[in-house]
Amino acid sequence: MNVNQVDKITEPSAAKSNQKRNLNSTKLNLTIKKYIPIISFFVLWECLTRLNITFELVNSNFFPPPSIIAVQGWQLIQTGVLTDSIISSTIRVFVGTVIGILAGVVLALIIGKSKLIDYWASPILNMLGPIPSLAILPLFIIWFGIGEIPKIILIAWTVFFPVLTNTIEGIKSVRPVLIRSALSLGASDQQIYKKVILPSVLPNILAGCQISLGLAFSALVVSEMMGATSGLGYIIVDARNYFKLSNMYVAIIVIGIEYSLFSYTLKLVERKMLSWRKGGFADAIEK
Amino acid sequence: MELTLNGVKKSYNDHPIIKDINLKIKTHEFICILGHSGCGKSTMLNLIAGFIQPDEGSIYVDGQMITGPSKERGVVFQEHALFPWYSVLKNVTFGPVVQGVDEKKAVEIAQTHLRKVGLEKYANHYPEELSGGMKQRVGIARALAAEPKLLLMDEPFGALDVFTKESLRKELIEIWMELKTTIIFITHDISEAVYLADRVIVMKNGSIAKDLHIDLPRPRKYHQERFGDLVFELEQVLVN
Repeated sequence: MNVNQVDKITEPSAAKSNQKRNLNSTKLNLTIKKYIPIISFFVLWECLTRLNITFELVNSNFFPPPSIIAVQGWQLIQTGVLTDSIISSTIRVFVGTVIGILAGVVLALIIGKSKLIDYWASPILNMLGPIPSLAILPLFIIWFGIGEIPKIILIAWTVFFPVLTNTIEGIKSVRPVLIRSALSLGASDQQIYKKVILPSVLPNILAGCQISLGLAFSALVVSEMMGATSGLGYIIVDARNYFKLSNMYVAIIVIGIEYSLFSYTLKLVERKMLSWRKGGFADAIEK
Repeated sequence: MELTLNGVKKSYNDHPIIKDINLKIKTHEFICILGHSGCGKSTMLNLIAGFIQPDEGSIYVDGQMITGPSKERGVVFQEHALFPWYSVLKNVTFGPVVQGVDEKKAVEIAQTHLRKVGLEKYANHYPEELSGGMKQRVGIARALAAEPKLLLMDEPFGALDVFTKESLRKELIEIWMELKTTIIFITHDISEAVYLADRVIVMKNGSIAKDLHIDLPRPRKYHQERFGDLVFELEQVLVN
């Protein structure tokens, strides 16, 4: 049987490798180019705040230049406060997010499987979902004290809902013909969950995670502002109480960096896990 | 493998789709179910596959009543239903793997079937990277790798261009001659039915309008006189 006379693979591989070489040479330029706006932002900030210090236009304590913030940050690292705070915040946000994702995905799969559980759980979850989690934080503190538990529960709670709704949506849109195929090939229910439903739903789960991540960080910071003795949110509150504004800036910047790192890691995971996916403008039109 | 349909009825919202079908299919037979869209031919395939249940009557495979889908009855769908997250090879090993065949043996089986459809070189591609005809070939290889006794094909070549269709028909006959799996092939194309089948079952408004044995020797040619006669005969049944 000769296939080649009938069908040809759509992308010639030679053209592709050529493209790759070009990409490599411009890669370095692109990396530098990517950071120009951010570097410019800090340079401009430095200049404006230095001018402000010289001419005392507004209270310069309110707007410290990045160089002073950096020095302050270095001092906080040396006293161990910043490092401790980063570590405890990271653990909280990581553990809380993982618990929230797992709970969301597992419950979504159970709801997708059982009509009875769907009937009982969905209306209640729909009622609880829209309540801003931060409104519940004081309750959590009263129930669980001011230790790690209320913070982690709050973060997990925040992450849980977007992951749950996205996953349920994904389960509903699994192509029935794929499930039929799997059944006719002899797959058990469990194998269908593992090999058909989960991979189908993975894009939705990851989209839910992306949405949740921002919410998780707000939950983290707020929970650390209320009843904590460490963490980046705690540094902010502490800086307010003692009017150490540059500390506040240090914490804010570190939160921004940490969020970016988490988000970037998630994107890498997404790219790796969904490498089979094609779509969007990049695949629609060649430029 | 013997398939028996006994007084099978199926309706949707009080609208009968299949009315009292009685049919016996012998082992190794190549059956084409021919009819225009909406005549109930796809419903019949879904019933035999076990995806849906009859309202009345029952379907037996070797005397055993069908209650749901099974690996004995492989299906090739009209729109290819390959798993987009698996490579071609993993799609084809899916059947053997879920049936408990060990990984190495499963790959061997898959490669044999990919060779049959001429796609062994594309084992590591994803379905998205293949043309329509190639996807359908993978679909056939995947169904065969699960070693079904009965292969159900739901207008598998319907969406393909004339040339691809033509070569796939030839390949399918070669595969069937080699494996002698019983095949039930749904189509609305009269000459496709005459080219492929031992027996053409014409469906009209949910009933069997004609059950015609095709006595042409293989390989069949479209321009043979007898071929034309058979096409004409079936055409008359469908039109009237």
